[in-house]
Amino acid sequence: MLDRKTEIWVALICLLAGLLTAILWVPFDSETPPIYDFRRQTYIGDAMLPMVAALGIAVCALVHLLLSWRRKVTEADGPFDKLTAAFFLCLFAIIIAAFVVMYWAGPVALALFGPSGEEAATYRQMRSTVPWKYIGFVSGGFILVFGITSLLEGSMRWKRALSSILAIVVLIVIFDLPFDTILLPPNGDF
Amino acid sequence: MSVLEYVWAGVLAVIAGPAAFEIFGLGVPITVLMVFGGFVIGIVGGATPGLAGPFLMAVSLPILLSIFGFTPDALLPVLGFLVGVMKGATVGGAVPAILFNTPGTPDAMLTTFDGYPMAQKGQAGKALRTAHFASVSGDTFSDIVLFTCAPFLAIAVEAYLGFGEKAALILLSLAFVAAVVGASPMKGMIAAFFGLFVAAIATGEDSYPRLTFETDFLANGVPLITAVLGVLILGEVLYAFEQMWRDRRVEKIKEVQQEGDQRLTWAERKRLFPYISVSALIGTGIGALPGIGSTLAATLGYATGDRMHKGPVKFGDGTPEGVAATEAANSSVSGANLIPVLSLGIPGNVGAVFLILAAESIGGFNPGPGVFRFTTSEVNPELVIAFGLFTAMMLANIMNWIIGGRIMAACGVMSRIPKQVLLPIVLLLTLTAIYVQETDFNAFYFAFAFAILGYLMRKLKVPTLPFVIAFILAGNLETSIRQAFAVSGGDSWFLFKSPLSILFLLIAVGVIIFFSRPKKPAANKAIAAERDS
Amino acid sequence: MKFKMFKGAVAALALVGATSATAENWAPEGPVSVMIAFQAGGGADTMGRLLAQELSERNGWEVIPENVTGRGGAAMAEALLDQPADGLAIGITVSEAFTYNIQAARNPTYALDDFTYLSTITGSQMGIIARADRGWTTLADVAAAAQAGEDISFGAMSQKLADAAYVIGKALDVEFTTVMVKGGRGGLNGVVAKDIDVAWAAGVQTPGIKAGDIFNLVSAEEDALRVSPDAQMLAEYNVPFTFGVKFMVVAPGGMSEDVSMAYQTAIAEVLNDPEGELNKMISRAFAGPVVVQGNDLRAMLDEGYAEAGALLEAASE
Repeated sequence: MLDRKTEIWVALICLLAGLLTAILWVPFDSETPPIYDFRRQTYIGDAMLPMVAALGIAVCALVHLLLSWRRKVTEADGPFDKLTAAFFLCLFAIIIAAFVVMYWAGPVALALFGPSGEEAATYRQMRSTVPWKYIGFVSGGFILVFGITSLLEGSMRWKRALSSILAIVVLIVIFDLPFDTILLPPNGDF
Repeated sequence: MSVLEYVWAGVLAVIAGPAAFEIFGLGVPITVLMVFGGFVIGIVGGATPGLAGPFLMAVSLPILLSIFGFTPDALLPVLGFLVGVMKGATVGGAVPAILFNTPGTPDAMLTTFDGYPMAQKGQAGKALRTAHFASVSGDTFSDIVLFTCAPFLAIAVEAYLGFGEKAALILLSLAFVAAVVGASPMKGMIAAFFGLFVAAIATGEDSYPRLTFETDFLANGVPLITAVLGVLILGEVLYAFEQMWRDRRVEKIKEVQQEGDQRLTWAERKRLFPYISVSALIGTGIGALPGIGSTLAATLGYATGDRMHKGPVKFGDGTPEGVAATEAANSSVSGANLIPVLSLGIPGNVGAVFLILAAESIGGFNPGPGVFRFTTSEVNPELVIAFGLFTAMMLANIMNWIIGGRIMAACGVMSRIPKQVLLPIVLLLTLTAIYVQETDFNAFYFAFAFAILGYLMRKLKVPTLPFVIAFILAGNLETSIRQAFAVSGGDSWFLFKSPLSILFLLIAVGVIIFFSRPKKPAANKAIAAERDS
Repeated sequence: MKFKMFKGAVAALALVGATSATAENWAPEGPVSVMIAFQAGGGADTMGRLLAQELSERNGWEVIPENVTGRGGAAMAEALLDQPADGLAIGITVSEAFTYNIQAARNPTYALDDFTYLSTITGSQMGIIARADRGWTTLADVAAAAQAGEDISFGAMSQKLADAAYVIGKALDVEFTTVMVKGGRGGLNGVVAKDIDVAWAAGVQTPGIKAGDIFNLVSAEEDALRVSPDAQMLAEYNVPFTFGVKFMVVAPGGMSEDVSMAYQTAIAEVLNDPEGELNKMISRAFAGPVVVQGNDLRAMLDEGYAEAGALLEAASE
């Protein structure tokens, strides 16, 4: 169990979200209402399941709210603090950088160093050709693995850089080498 | 075909199936090879803190699908591999628990109580052998119960349940899982309802995909494997990242000189037998209920063993009986856990979730009551697959008996891979596995959305299992409710028209009320940990 | 230094590509994505994957199949429209996606004219099934049971087939209770488990019919069903529609003539080889090879479009 305050907040948010969803989102974003008549037969419509689910969330949250309200006040730390925010800022900065590099490194490299003039090729044509198809995956993957390991350890170490590269090579061996019909990220998007 | 012919066809499908390669003119069937591969990987992974059976199954699933494709021929090799992983991880989890006091899998927590003291006394080898012996015995027993129970249960279900009763049964299972897993049944229910809601996005029968705000991004719904991997695996990875970052400490592992007789004699095995059999019964009974984890089985097995024990070395001070009682109980959960999947199509735990995902992705095998139709005029291929699956499980057990112990002993080295190196690789591996399935960067956004959801649920102590199971079962639930309603001619009491469905719904309500009453403080920290997970 | 080497290697590769492109037949200059609009693992998916495999084996093309499922083919159609018409992306889907579904959608996301239609592959074996032990052999028997007061439930796996059930009911002067089922398999299971009385099935019923457990009451195709040649035709009940579907290969609209022709030739070659895997598979599970291409195919779809409109009208009366 968490501390009483957090439990109450969780219950309140679920209650509110459940109610809003059931009253506003579901009816306005489904084609058929929970129950409707069509060609002299009564049907359950598309709104039934999500509406029941949202109301279920609201009802359970209400019960949970009442149960938590009656609990004695307990001393415990909240689940989140400033450190959480700081950590996730760093983590998601690394992940976003990794994704951007993973997506664009291949096409950019092709534009800069690929054949030009008459034989110019698009990345779409080259997306399953060595080395272009590996550029995004290797560079983006390296930023992801090495970046996060360094973040967790608080220092950058050569050994970790090597193990990251090794891990990526192993992934390529597992996923890419044995199969002709598999595209590594990001090559399916081109 | 008669019943025996079906069993035999299943056995043949495994041992006489397509060969992977030949040794001395003898073909090695691909399924046997995959069971073996899964088994070895399972032990190695189970012995690696930070990895666990469900995780290995999750990551290997997309790779397996890429290798074997989506034909019915793929079913047995893929399911065999997953079953091998499941069994390997169960025994592998004991290795770091005994050697380094760090359980590789959550259910190996209680193994540390006696296994680690034994290792400190220089009896690590004996402790490992005890764990292996107890684990394999419990596992084998549990499988036999599965093979005998599941078909009968399935036939009974198929014969007596119409659309309405099936819907009521799904509701009962969901209520049970929601109420049992985690500290608060209400939070479990919220998770389950949320799973139903997310599954409703862009599904349904109308031409407009519901709940999508008319966006293209949501119009194709939530990709199943991506969402499940996101919540179960990536959520855990994010959670672990934060923990590691908070306490950046390097654990120093001290090694103790091992000495004395490490063997486990037949006399000693005989002495362990009562503990193993009692624990196996407990584990099997608990495993058959959806949603209850192997940690509870281990705890009960350990507590019962403690009460039976009269030897000179007390439980907790490093006695083989303690290791045996725990390992037999937690291992015998895995086979029985498949009873609800194979007989009802309802997954009760994470391992079963991945078996169902595999079967659904490949197609041609829909775990559930329809499988056990012993048709005589034409062959029911699903039944052959079911018996093939049983054969694969037995095969894994045999491998486990013969070489499991030796592989375990060799896996001690895995426990030394630092988590901060392993988990980022795991992240990239999972993302790659997702991408090769979806071939679309959008899949990453979904994966991270669900990873954050999984992380928040862990932080707020909302159990993830009810969410995942509800998410998977939502389609079946909605279909059977709509069908029951249509067949009843639009009767609003359609769910309460048969005594059986009324009974199911009453039990569901009863379960929720029972588990909602205020709890006494948990007797030990393992149960508390399970409640909080 | 290294990058120079890369550059040389790539230039050489591009040259190889260029020579093959100027040859008489068009060939793709890169991997071809084959988007399959069906759930992985089903019969239709197997069909799509076999076609992809044979296209690759016979022509040496690099072909990458992927499943883009959802909303009766609409998800695939939208994904395909996002791709250029350069021959590096084609889709495998059903004719219904371009005829009935466009007209039934509240806000359709694509139109009939948005695509280049390459070739059909095969057709369904659409029939209405019942358990053999019900004793019904024709739709008239079912109608008689309904008129005698029995409540007949009718399993349908799509909105179009629910409309169809309603229109057939009107022609027979009875009212069926429509039950939506998940795929032909869902209908078959419902019928076998006696949860529903009759259901649509598009080919999944074949083994059950051969075993004598299931009966095809009527053929909803233009021709007789291969496995039940004696089953009546819907026309005998004054139903002016047929409900069979065609499986087909499409590409984004505006594909150039030589690319389109290259595909049509390649697909026809695969379909017409009686020794080919695909040919064997569709002869076993579907209507056998059906090769309608180019303008003929477009004309067929136009006709289907008009018929679907008429069905929608008849079903809303």
